Amino acid sequence: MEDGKILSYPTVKDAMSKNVVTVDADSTVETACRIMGEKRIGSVIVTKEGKPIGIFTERDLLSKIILRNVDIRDAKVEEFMSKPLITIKPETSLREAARIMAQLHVRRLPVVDVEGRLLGIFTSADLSSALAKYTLTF
Amino acid sequence: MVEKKKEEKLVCVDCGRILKPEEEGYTWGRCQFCQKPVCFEDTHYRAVYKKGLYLDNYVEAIRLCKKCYAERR
Repeated sequence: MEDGKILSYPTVKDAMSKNVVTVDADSTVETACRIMGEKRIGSVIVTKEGKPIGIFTERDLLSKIILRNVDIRDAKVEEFMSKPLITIKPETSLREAARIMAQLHVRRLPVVDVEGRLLGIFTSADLSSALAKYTLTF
Repeated sequence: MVEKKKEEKLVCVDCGRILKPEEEGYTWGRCQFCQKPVCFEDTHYRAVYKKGLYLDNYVEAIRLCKKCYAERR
């Protein structure tokens, strides 16, 4: 910022995670959990024929699987995932992305282009990293 | 004859705050329904279904002013 004028501001594109971890809709919850554990991540994007249809998160595991004593070896991830995916565009500013997360009560926003192609995922962890990296005025 | 370009006065449609053109996308944006400028303090977000060439049906968070948000509740 210079004389109160913002020259450029960081966008979601600058802070998102580009390597999106996905699982097929037919995979079991056990597979999804194993991937989440191995990659040390809190969610996986669920795809069908290569296209994202939902997201399976730690919250889904707690509220839909553990609480109901569901056998994770038989349960299909598609049945327990959260949907629909609430997406944002890569050119959205970090400030606006934070507001979207707060207002819509989500911590993960898949990033898609105008054609709906998945480019990455923007999470609250990415927002924290960006806060440490960029000077943002909220 | 020099044509004078009409400059749109940038004020938030909800609170009337004067907005700076260079801060678009950072402190204010346009309502994606009525296209009127709205500051981020008064912006509401709504998840709407969209159709893309790659994804047939996906949900996107869109920016709305107070009036458009209330109309689409």
